[in-house]
Amino acid sequence: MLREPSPAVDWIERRLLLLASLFLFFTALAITLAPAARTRSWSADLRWEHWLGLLVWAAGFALAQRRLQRCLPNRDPFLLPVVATLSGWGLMVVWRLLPGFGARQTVWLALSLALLIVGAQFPQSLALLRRYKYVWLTSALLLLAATLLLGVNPLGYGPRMWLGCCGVYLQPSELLKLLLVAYLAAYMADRQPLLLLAESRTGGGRQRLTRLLPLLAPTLIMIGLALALLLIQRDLGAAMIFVLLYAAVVYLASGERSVLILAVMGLVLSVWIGYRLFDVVQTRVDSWLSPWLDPSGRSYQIIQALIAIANGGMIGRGPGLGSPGLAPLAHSDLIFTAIAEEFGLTGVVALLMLFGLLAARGLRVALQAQDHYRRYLAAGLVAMLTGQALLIMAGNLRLLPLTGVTLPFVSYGGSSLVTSFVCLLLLLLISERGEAAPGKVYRPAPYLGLGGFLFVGLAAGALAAGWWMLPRAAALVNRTDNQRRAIADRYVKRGALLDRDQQPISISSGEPGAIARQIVYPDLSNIVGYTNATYGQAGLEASLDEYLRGERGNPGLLIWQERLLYGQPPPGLDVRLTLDLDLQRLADEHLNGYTGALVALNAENGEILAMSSHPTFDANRLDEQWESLVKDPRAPLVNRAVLSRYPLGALAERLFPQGLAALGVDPLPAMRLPLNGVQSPQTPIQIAPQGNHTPTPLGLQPTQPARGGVALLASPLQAALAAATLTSPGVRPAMEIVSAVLTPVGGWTPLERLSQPQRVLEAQQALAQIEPYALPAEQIWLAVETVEPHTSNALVWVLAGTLPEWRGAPFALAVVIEGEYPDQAEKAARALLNALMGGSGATLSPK
Amino acid sequence: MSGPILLALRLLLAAALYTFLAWALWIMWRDLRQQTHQLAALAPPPLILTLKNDGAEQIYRFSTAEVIIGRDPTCNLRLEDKTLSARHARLSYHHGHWWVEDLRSTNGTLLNAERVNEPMVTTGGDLLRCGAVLFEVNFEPT
Repeated sequence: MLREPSPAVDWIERRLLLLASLFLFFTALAITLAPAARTRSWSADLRWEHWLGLLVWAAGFALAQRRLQRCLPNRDPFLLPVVATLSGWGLMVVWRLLPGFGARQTVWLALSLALLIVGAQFPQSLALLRRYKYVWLTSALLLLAATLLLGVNPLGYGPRMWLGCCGVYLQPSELLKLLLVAYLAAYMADRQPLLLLAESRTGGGRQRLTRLLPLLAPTLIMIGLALALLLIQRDLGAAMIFVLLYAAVVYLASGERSVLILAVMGLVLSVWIGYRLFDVVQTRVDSWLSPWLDPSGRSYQIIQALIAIANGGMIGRGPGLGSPGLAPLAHSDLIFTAIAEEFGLTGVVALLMLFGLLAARGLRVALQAQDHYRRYLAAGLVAMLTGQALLIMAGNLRLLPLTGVTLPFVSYGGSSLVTSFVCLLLLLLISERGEAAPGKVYRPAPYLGLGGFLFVGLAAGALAAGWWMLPRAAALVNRTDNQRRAIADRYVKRGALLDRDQQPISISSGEPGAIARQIVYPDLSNIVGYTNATYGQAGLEASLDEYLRGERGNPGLLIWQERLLYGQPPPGLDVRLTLDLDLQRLADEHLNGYTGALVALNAENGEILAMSSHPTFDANRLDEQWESLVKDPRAPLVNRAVLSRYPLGALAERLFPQGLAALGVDPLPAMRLPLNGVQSPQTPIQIAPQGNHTPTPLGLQPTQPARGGVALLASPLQAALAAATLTSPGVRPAMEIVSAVLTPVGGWTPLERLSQPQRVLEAQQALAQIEPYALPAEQIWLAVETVEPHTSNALVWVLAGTLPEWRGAPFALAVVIEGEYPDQAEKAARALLNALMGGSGATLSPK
Repeated sequence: MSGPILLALRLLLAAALYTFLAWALWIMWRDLRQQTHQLAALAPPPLILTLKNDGAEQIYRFSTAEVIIGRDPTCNLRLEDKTLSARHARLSYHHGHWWVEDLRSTNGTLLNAERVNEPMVTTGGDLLRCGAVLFEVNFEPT
């Protein structure tokens, strides 16, 4: 029986295995060094544990290769290396994602290889599989039925499709799939003469199908049983594969194309029915057809998968340098996305080519097999392995609805790995055909059809991956639900927000990997905003994010290089605001305990010197306070100075008879004021929650026309600008809150102003309008107005500014306090004016 | 420094992976080429059929692996003879020999006066009779 071993087979196999181990060695080394690159320091904890997996892999495949050389000297030399690459790759990715699962997968790999080595010595197992086909299939069905009673799910929830004991779990549907293919191959081979007869006797397609039906009856009963069990279990992905496999094997044996058409039509029909009846199916199909509608709910998984794929780009982020673990089930169902993110398009194309190689060699084995049974079995196994790979990869790429099946050889999962290795064993046994010449192939078309279908599918996968990774990448990676940005914030220092004297307002500090954002002056929280991994960004932190994150203002080459090498943005840029912390403190002292807002600005150059909104919150304690902040009826998250609009009452008539628009103050959406740093109208400041009553009495009313007897509404910011226009006098200044960005090349660089100073009123006219409120002794004007007194909507406005007699820079401010507190409002305004005019020693450094 | 080292590793692992694929494909292509050459070397020795009717000899030479004799226009050797069927007999080269096969002709095929009921191997100098048409079968040495 033993013949001279073929040197070529041995040589090819060894050379390919060597290349595979080289690939895995570099991958493992990259995973080891990745923490150093992430934290940019060699003192980081390097990862070593996955080398254990690589060791087992190398020893196992070396041993398997030697044993196969002895037992099956004329086997196909490509199958083992291809499987070795796939399984080693999967093993490394699983170790990298979840070391605990990696250890388990290593044990399963050792078991699978042991099975391969032992199985290779029993070529008669093919015949046994054929002879006792009903016994095998029935026992697998019984195992599957047992899951209905004894089934568990290792996760503790979800469909109970596993049989488990003592920490080891088996999924009988995996085994059943394999045995079903073997059963069908054996059955079809036994009925081959009858099949041929059925074909030769009749001509018409429909007649042939009816002739075929009685032949297929027993198989229909068996597959019906399997399908019923799977449907009861809700293992819909496996059920789909069963139907497709059945159709594929019957097509291979009978050459009857209508079987395929019927199967596909049946699947589409059952998906449609399932869509109507089962919530599971509806969720999957909905999230496939329109995932963008519900990105944080039903389609969370697929959106996160696409973001991970998009983050890969051309060559990937590098093993250990991406964040593929963000997508749920990245180690099993979504392992393709993990590979896509860290190995990029080059990796994905190689992965698809490996499956293509597997399919090509497998079909070749099928065609060269000595009899029909082996031929159907080999082709069926190829259809099973490659078809399942296509199904899950297409699901990851949103070409098909996502189904919960594994990527053969690659995904985590003991049952799947063992079953896939049994497939490999059977293919190797079939490829060892000795002296016998290949039997006659009655119908070559189905083999070509199957191969063509699989190759077209793999090519479609490569195209889809390219689509998400290149043209669509930017849009996906910049989505706000891409948590990689929050992760980057922990590793790369975010720029600081400084006041006009470069006192810190909001800073990042800590070791790489644990960098945290801290607001040094918490009362500014609802102005400056926050950047938080859970709650996103708001305020200036959001609108200045590109600078603070270093994605803007840095040289393009640096940004590109940092992304290529580390997958991170470069260190963030510091931003200097026009706010003055001394004035800010004064403003906050006076507003503390009240509900209202204050804006003070230089009426000449438009710099905002203080902006205060109360009640406020502490951005440092956002994680613990979020729930109560959102529910708080006083809406502490809202920046009232910018967002809330209050009626000006009688002040509108007296101070601004021409309306705000004539002063160059856009009376409509407050956020559209040309204020740099607050450019985006969508700046995600948390808007009031739904309570029993509106949190800010009039603050967030819908827009009303400014004239025609209806109350004129203005935000404190708008009112302050209008007051500054009267103070200047008659020239509307160009407001700004961001003064400069510290760029590595140009030093402090001022931001582009979004508007220019503009004369909107004759100086005489402006002075005439503030005349009634002038206090010449103090060189200021001051208007105090209580709007709607004695009602629950009562509020106090104070608008004030300097008079032309004042020799220093002109200032203007607006204060609003909800409720009837005119004294407090006036006190605040006067305190600020005093400080601005040097009364309390607060001096403003020149910009 | 860790970034450039990792970039080098990433390029190396991609290179190893693609070397694997390229080498596997190259070996497969080499196998294919070898097989093509082998199959090309199996080309049949050209078949010489000498028509021996009416005393006048006529020679036909074929370099294909299959020759069908009959009255049908699609036959490789088409003869207008009433004793021939439309597709009368087939000569084909496989397993290293030229084989003769009767295609259920009306008047039968005889090889050296022996009736051809199943495919038979011919050798140089054999006499092949299809209906009333007589050939001498010869091969050109390759």
